[in-house]
Amino acid sequence: MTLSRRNFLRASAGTAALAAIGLPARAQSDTFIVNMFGGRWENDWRTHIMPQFAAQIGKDFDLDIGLGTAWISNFRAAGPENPPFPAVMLNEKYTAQIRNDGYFAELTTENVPNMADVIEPAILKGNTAVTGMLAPLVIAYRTDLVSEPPKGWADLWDERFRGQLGLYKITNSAATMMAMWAGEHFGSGRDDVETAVAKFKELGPFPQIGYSAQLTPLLSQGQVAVAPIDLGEVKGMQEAGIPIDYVVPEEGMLVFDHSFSVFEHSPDKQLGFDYINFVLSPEIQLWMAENWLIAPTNKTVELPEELQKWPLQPEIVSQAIRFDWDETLAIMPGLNDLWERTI
Amino acid sequence: MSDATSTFSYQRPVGLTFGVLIVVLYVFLMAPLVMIIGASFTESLMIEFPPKGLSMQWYVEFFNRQDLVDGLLMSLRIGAITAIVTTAVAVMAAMAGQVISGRLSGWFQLGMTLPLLVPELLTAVGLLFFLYKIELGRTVIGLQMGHILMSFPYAYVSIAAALRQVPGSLEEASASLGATGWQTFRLVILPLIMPGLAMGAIFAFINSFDLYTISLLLKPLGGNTLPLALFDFLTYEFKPTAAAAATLSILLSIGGVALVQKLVGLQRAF
Repeated sequence: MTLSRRNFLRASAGTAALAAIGLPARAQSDTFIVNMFGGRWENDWRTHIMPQFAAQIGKDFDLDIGLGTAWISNFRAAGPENPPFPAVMLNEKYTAQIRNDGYFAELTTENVPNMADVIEPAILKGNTAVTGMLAPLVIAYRTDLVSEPPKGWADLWDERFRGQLGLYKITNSAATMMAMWAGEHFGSGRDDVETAVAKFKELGPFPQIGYSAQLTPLLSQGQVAVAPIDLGEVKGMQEAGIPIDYVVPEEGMLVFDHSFSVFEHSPDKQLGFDYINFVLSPEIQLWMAENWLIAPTNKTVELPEELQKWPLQPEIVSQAIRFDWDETLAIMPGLNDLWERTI
Repeated sequence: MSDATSTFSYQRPVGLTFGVLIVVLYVFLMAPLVMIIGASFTESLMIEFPPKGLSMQWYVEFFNRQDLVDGLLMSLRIGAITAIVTTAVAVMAAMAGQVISGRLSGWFQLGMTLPLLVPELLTAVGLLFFLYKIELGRTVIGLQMGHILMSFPYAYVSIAAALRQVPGSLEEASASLGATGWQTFRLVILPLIMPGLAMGAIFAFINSFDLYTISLLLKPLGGNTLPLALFDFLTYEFKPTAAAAATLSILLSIGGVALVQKLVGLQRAF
C-alpha cells in the first residue's frame, strides 16, 4: 500500500469526523456533576449511590474524578464566583485551604436537615463543611510476622518493629497527622516539627507510599509487617485471606475527614444542599459503613451486628485525635520541607 | 525485496562490543514493557512479575470498568485530533521557518520548541488560568488546546527536518514550469515530506496519549484521559487491571509505529 495524497486526506477527514463525534457540549446544565475519588470509590458511587440521587432530583449525573490538589487548583483558577459544580467533597486538608476565601455557603439544619443528626466533630470550622465520610486510620499488622502487636502509635518506635514498618509520604495527610502527633507526644507541641521529623528519622529506612491502597500490596506480600492504614483496606485484605489484624491505637485513632461543602455562588446551590443532605442520610451513611467501613457521622445510623466488631461507632470515632487544619496548613510547608530533606 | 525486509537494509555489521551495548540498551528499554505485559496476565490479585499462572481476567475487568474504558476512548479522541491539528499547524510553521534566514531563524526554531523547554506543570497552570479567563476552563476544547500545545514541538521537529531535506531547486523548477504555490506544495513538497509528516503525527498522538500533568489540570468536567483514570485507579486499587490497560496502550503505540512502516517505511521516517 502506498500513501497517496488522496488517501491521506481521506483518512484525515475521516478520523477528524470520527473524533468529533461525541464531543460533549460545553454547557451541561441538565447534568448534576459532583466530584469523587477514583477506583472503587468512583465505581461504587457511580453504580450504587448517584443513581438514587439522580432519581430524586430528576437529572442525569456525572462524576468529576480526581484528587484534592487538582480540584483546588481549578477552584482557584475559576474563582469563587465561578464554581465548576454545586457541591464538593474534599479532604479537610484541602477544604481548609479555601474555606476562608468566600467559596462556600454556610451549612445549617435549615438547608441541610440531616445535619441535625451528625456527631459534633463532623461539623467543621466555619460551618461551611460537614464530614460526610469519616475513614478511620488504624495500625494494621501481619499476624504471622508480628508476635506482639503494637498497642498504640508510640509502639511504632519499639525496636521490635525496626525495618518492618510501612508509612505514608508527607504529602499524604496521614503522615502530616502522624508527624503532628509525634511533635506533641515526643516534643513540645504539634508545631514541634524538628522533634517530629527527628523521631521519624529514627524509624528509617521505611517505604513511604502516597496512598493507602499502595500500602496494601506491601502488607499483603509481607514486605512490611506493620503500617497505619484505612480500616477498609484491612477488611479487604482479611477477605483475601491475608493473615492481618489491626489495633485501634490506645492514644486514639486518626481519621481521614472527607468533608462536603456547597459553593456559595453556584446557580444550583439548592441541589448542592440536597446532595449533602442525601449523603448524610442514614441510608447512605449505612451503605458506606457496610461497603467501605466508613464510620457514619449520622448518629441515627444503627450498625448491624456484623459491623459491631469494627471501630465505627459514634462514641469511638468522636474520640479520634483531631487537628485544626488551619493551624496545620501553617505548619505544613516547614514540616514537608524538613521531612523531604531529612527522611 | 519486500518493504519489510528492506527497512533497515542499509545497516552494516557492527563490532562485538557495540553489539553487546545495543543488546544491553534494548534490554534496558524493553524490561519495563516486558514486566508490565507479563504482570497483566497474572492470576494473582496483585501486580507482580513473574506472573502467577496465566489469565485474561484483568483484560476482562478492564473492559468491564466504565471509568477506564471512557478514559481510553477520550485519550484516543483527544490524541487523534491532536495528531491531525498539530501536524497541519506544524507543516505551516516548518514552511515558514524555511523562509526565515539569519539569526531570526534560530530564534524561530527555539520558539517552536518552547513547550518542551518550559516545565509541563508551569505550562499547565498558566493554561488553566488562561482558559478560565476565556471561559474554556474544564472543557474538552481547553484540554484539546493543551494537548496540541504540548505535542506541537514533536511534530514540528520531525516535519521541519523532513522539509530541510527537500532541495530548494525543486520548488524553483516547479514554479518555472508554471505551477502555483499550492500545486508545488501539493504535488512536490508534500509527497517528499510525507515520512516526516507521518512520523510527526504519530509522535504527536503518542505524546498526547501519554500526557498526565496537563490533563490533570485541564481535564473536562466528568471526563478523564486514560493516564488519569489509571492513576486514579492505582491510587485506590493496586490491581493488575492497570497492567492490562498499560499493555493495551503499548499495543496502540506499536500499532502506530506499524502504521508508519506500512505507509511510508520506518527507514524514510527517521
